[in-house]
Amino acid sequence: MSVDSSAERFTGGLAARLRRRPDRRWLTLVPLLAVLILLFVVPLFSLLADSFRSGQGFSLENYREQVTSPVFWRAMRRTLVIAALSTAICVALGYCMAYALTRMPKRLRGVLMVVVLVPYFTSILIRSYAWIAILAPGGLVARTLALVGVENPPELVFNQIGMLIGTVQILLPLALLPIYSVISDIDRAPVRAAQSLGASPAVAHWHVYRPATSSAVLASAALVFISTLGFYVTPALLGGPGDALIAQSILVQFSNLVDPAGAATQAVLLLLIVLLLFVVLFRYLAPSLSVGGTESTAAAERPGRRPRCGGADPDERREKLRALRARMLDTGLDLVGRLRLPILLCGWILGAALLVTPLIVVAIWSFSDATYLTFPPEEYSTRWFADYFADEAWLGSTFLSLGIASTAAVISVVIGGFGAFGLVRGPQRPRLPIAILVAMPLIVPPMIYSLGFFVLVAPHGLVGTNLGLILPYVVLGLPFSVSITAAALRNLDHRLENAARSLGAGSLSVLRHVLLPALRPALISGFVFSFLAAFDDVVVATFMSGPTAVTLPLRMFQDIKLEVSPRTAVVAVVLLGAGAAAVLLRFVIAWLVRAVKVALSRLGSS
Amino acid sequence: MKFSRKTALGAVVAVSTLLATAACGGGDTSAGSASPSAAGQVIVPDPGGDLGKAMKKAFFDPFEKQTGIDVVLASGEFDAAVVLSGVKAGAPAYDILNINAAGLQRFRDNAAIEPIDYTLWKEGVRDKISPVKASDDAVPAFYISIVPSWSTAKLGDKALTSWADFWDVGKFPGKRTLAPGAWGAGGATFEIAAMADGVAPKDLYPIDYDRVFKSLDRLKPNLVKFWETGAEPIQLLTGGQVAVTSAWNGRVAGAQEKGVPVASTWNQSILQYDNWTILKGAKNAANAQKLMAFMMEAQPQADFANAIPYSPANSAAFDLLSPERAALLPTSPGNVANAVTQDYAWWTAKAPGTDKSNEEVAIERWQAWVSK
Repeated sequence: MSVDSSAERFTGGLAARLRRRPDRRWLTLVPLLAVLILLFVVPLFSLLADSFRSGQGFSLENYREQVTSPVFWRAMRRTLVIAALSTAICVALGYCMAYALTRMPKRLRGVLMVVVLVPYFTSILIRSYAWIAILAPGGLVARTLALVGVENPPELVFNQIGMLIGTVQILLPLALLPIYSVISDIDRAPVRAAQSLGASPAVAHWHVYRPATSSAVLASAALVFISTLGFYVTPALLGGPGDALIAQSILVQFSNLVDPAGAATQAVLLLLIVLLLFVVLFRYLAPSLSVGGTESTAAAERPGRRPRCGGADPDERREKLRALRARMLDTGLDLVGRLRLPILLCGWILGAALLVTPLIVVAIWSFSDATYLTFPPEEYSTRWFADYFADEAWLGSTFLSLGIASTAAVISVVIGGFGAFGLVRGPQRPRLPIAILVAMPLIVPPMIYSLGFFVLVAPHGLVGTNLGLILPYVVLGLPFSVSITAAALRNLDHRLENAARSLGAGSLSVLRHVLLPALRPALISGFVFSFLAAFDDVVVATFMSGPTAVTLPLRMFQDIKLEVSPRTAVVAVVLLGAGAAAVLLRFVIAWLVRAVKVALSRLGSS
Repeated sequence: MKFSRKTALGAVVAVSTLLATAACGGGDTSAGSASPSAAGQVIVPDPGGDLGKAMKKAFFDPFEKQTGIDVVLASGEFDAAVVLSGVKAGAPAYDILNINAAGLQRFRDNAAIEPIDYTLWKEGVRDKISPVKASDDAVPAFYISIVPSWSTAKLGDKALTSWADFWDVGKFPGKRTLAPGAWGAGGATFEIAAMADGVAPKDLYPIDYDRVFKSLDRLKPNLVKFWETGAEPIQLLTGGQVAVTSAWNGRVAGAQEKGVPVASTWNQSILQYDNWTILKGAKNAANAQKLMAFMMEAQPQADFANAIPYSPANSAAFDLLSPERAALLPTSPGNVANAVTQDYAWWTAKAPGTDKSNEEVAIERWQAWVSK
C-alpha cells in the first residue's frame, strides 16, 4: 500500500516537472507521416485527379457512367456478399483455432503456427489449381464421398462456394493471428473465479473473454473484409462464368478497355462505400460488441440525461426483453459450453484441412514427372527440383524477394514503431485522423495504389530497381507494424518510462532498456506481417519489377500463367522446407542453450 | 534466455541486412551482365512457354551471335495497359513489343510507337510480308489460330468439325470452357458464339450481339467457366474438368507432343495475328530496329515456324519449310481454306453513334451479360 502511494506521488511529481518541459514526443510521428504522405497520399491523389478527367478538363462524366451502370453495382453487391461471408467464416474459425491454440502446450504451438502460416509459402495461382484438383467432379472430395457411398456430390468449384473456399484458405491466418495475440495475453484467473462462483464455463468465458477480445475480433474482421475486396486471381480461377467480383471489373476497365480513369473511378467508389460501411458498422457495432461496462454505464447515464422522457412502461418492457435475451444467451452459452470440446476440435480440423490440403496436393505435384498438373501424378521424379536449383533466374528471384521483403519489413518496423509511439504517447487530437491514414494502405485496392505509385515514379528511373520495390512495400507494411506496436504500447504502463526518466535515463536509454524489451514480441510480429505482405505480393511487382528485378511471387505467377507445370509447386516445397528448418533450428538451439546452462551450473555447484 | 532473445533479434536484423545487400548485389550483377557488350542491348518481353523458347531459338540467339547485341528477355506476359502507362510516363518497360491488333490501335491512338526504319531491311523482304502487309509502324509477327479442341480421353474417336458441334452437348457430352469475351477480339468468343448459332463466316461482321448472347445463353448451363490464360484450357482438358474447349493451336500441338490426349480441327478455326512494334522513347531504339529487320528475314521466320506451329509473317519462309511442317501451320493452304480471319479493321473501328471502338462496346455488352 505504501509502495503504491509513494509511486503515485512520485510519478505525479514527475508529470508536473515534465509539463514544464515542452513535450517533443510528437516528433516520432514525423517519419511515419512523411512516408505515408509522400509515398501513399501523393500517388493516390494523382490518380484521384485522373478520375475527374475526361477529354477536356474537370468532369464528373466517369462517375455518372459508373454509378448508372448496373454492371458495376452487380459486381459490387456480389463482392460485398462474398466479403461478408468469408469474413464471418474466417473470424469464427480463427477465433476457435486461436482459443484452442492458447490452451495447448507451448511446444505444440510452434508446430501449429507453421500450419497456420502455410498459405504464405506458395503462389495463390497454384493453390487455386490445387483446389480445382480437390473440389472438381472426379477430384479428391468427390472420390472420398464416393467411397462413403455418396454418388452425386455437391458442386464445389466454379461457383461461389469454390470462391469462398479459396478465399477463406488465404485469409484465415489474417483473422487468426491478431485474435491469438490478444487471447494469449488474457489472464485465466477471472474465468476460474467466475466458475468458482457458479458460472458455467461458457458463461464465464463469454463474460471474461468477449470484452477483452472484441477489439481484436473487430480488427481481424476488418482486415479480412478489406483484403477480400481486392481479390482477383482466386475468384477468376475458382468462380463460375458469371461470378466476376469488383477487382475483376476494375481490371477489365484498366486492362481490356485501357481506361485508367474509369478504373480509378470504380476504385474511388469502392473506397467510399467501404469507408461508409465502416463508419456505420463501427457506430452500431462498437457499443454492442465492446466492453459490457460501457453498456451498463450508458444505461446508468440514460435516466439521468433525460428524466421521465418515455415513462416507465417502455423501460419495463425493455427490461423484460433484456432479461429474456440474457436467459436465451445463457442457455445458448450453456449448450456451447457443453459442446466446447467437439466445437474446438471441429474448428481445428476444418481450419487445418482448409489450410493444409491444397499444400499437400502442391507438395505431391512437386514430385510429379508430368508436364501438366494431373492428380494423382502417374509417375514421380525429382526433375522439377533439379530444374529449379539449376535455374539461376529462379534462385535469383528467390533471394531478391527475401532481401526486398525483409529490408522493407525492417524499415517499416522502425518507422512504424516510432510512429506508434508518437500515436499512443503523443498529442491526443490528431490521433484519429492519423490512425485512419495508417489503415488506408490496407483499404485501397493494391492495384490502384500500384498504378498511382508507378505513374508517379516511372519517369525517375525507379522501375526495375530494388528501391522502387522496397518503397511501396514499406507503405504496405506500415498498417501492420503500426497497429500491432500501438496495441502493445497501449497495454504498457507509461509510468515505467517516466520512472526510468526520473532516474536519469535519456530518451535513448528509455528506448533501449524499457521500450525495446517490452515491445519486442510486438515488433517481431509486426516484422513478420510486413515481411509477408511484401513476400506474397504480385500486384505491386507487376508494375514495379521491370525487366531485371523479377520477384519470386511474380515469377511464379507468370510461369504458371504461361505454362501450367509443377515448377511452381517445387518453389512452395522449397520455401516450406526452409520454414520448417528454421522452426526446427530454433528448437535445437533452445535445447542446446538449456543443455549448456545445465552443464555450467552443475560445473559451478561441484 | 534474455540473452538468446536479444541475439535472435540481432540475428534477424543481421540476416535481413545481409540478404538485402546480397539481393542488391544480385540485382547489380544481373544488370551488369546484361550490359558489358559494346554493341549494347535490346529489351524484349519473353512470352515464356513454348512460344518464348521458339522466339529465343529462332530470333534472339542468332541475332546475338550475329550482331553482338544482348537481347535481354524481360519476364512477362505483359499487360498492354501497364506498358502503355510506362510509355506515357517516359519509361517504357521494353524496347520492342509484340501486341495484338486491338492493342496496336490503342498504342497508335496514344502515339506510343515509333515508325519502323525500313532502310535497315534487306532488299525485298518487306514485299514478302503477306497476307497482311507491313505498315509504317508495325509488322505482323506471326499467325495463330483459335481452334475447337477436345479431350480424346473423354470423347474417344468422336471428332468435332465446327463450333456448332462445340455447342452440341448431346453428340459430344461433357463440360465446356471458352475465353472470356472481356478480352474483346482476343479470345474470339464473339465470332465463335455467332458461328455456333449458324452465322456464315462472311456475315460475321458487324457482330450481331443479340444473337451472340442468345447463343451463349444456350451454352451457359454446360459452361464451367471462362479460361483466363492460354495454358488453362489444356490444364482443364488434362484435369478432366472439361471435355471440349477453345484453344490456341500452338498450345494443342505442344500438349500433343507431350503425350496429352487432346485433338483439334482446322474447320472454322479463327486466324489471329500479333504485330511487332517499337515503343516510343525506347532506350535502345536503334538496336530494336536492327532486331526487327533481322527477325523478318525468311530464314529466322522458317526457324520459328519449325520450332512452334505458328505461321511465319514472311511468306518466303514457306519455301524453306518441309511440306509436312507446313501442313501443321494455320496459314498453309489446306488449313486456311476453312478458317476465318479476324477482321481487326472492324474491331478497332468506331462503333456507329458512339465515340467508342467496336471492341469497347463489345466488352461493355459482355460485362453486362456475364454479370447477370
